Amino acid sequence: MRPFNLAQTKILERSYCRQHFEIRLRGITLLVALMVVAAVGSGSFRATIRSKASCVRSEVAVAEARRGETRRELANMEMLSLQYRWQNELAQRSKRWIKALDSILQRAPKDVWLNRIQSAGQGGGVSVEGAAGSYESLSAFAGRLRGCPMFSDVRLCSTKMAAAGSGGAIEFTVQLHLRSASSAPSIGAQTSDVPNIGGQF
Amino acid sequence: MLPPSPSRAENVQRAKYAHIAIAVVAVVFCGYLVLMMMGDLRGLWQAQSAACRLKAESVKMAARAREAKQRQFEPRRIGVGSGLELFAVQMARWTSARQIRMESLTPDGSPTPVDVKVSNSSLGRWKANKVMVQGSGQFGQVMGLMDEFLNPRMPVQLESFSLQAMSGGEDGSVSFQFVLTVYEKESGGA
Repeated sequence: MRPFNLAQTKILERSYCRQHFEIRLRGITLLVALMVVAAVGSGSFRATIRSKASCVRSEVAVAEARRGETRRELANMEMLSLQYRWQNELAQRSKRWIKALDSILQRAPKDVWLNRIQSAGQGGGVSVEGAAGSYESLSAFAGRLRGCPMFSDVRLCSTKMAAAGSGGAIEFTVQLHLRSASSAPSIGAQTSDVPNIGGQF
Repeated sequence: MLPPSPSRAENVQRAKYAHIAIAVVAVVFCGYLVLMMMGDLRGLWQAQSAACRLKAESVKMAARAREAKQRQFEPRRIGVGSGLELFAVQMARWTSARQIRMESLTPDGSPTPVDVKVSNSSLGRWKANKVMVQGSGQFGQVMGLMDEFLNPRMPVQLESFSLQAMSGGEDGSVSFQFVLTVYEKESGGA
């Protein structure tokens, strides 16, 4: 049996403890170093990301400003487009009268002369005054007007022989109505909103 | 007798606890750093996606604007403006170009304010002025003048008309009276 050697045991224990103590210290040092490296790496990474993000944000701000500008421009254009449509609708309303005038003129036979054509108020009434060479011509004129889908209520209101020296012409007055336009535009400003000129037409 | 040493069992134990504590701190610290980096990355990603979205929107809107410009807005298509003065100037041009004599251009009464709406979209408040135009000229030229009202360069509507052959007008001259509604933007310019 080997005798117990306290000194040797103490020495062995001491070297064992030292070894483990150093391992722990190295581990601690390694962890601290790791934390420092991570902090430095993270800091530089975050700085890079932040600078990139601020670049992108400034780009976003520029793009937003540009978008706002384009949006304003677009809204302005849309407003102009609406205005153009409205003006076109107004023109179409005017066109109704001009088309009626053209239609009346086209339907006048050769020996019918028109002296006066005038619209009569907002209701689409038109009064036509003129002279015809014969009743046949006058009848043909009235018949053609009745046959036109644009007009309704075509009435021969008056006829009379023209003054002597006019070759037996017959003076007449025809009244008619324009059919209401089926494509009435939906404009807030209706013509009824506008005051009439004191009974001129 | 051995000298006192730090390499004792208790110190080893303490070092072990310190090691564990520092490992925990390191893990927490690294987690914190990772979270912070992720937050920054998220901010960058959000900014980039916003930039992409904005760019796409801008491209779309620019295309719409370009299309609208090509479709509608050559300068000649939207009018020379609105208002009585401009209308009078325009009428003077039209009549002089056709050798028509414009005898009078008379506004009637005060303008009426109207809210103009097209397809449920408001064009704002306009003033409607009734105007009577009287004059005389060759029939064909007067018809040409009336055709000008069909060109939507100005917010003008022909309300009524009267054409009368002039006495002894064998040459086809007529006198005319037009009643028009001339619209004018209330804020000052169309």
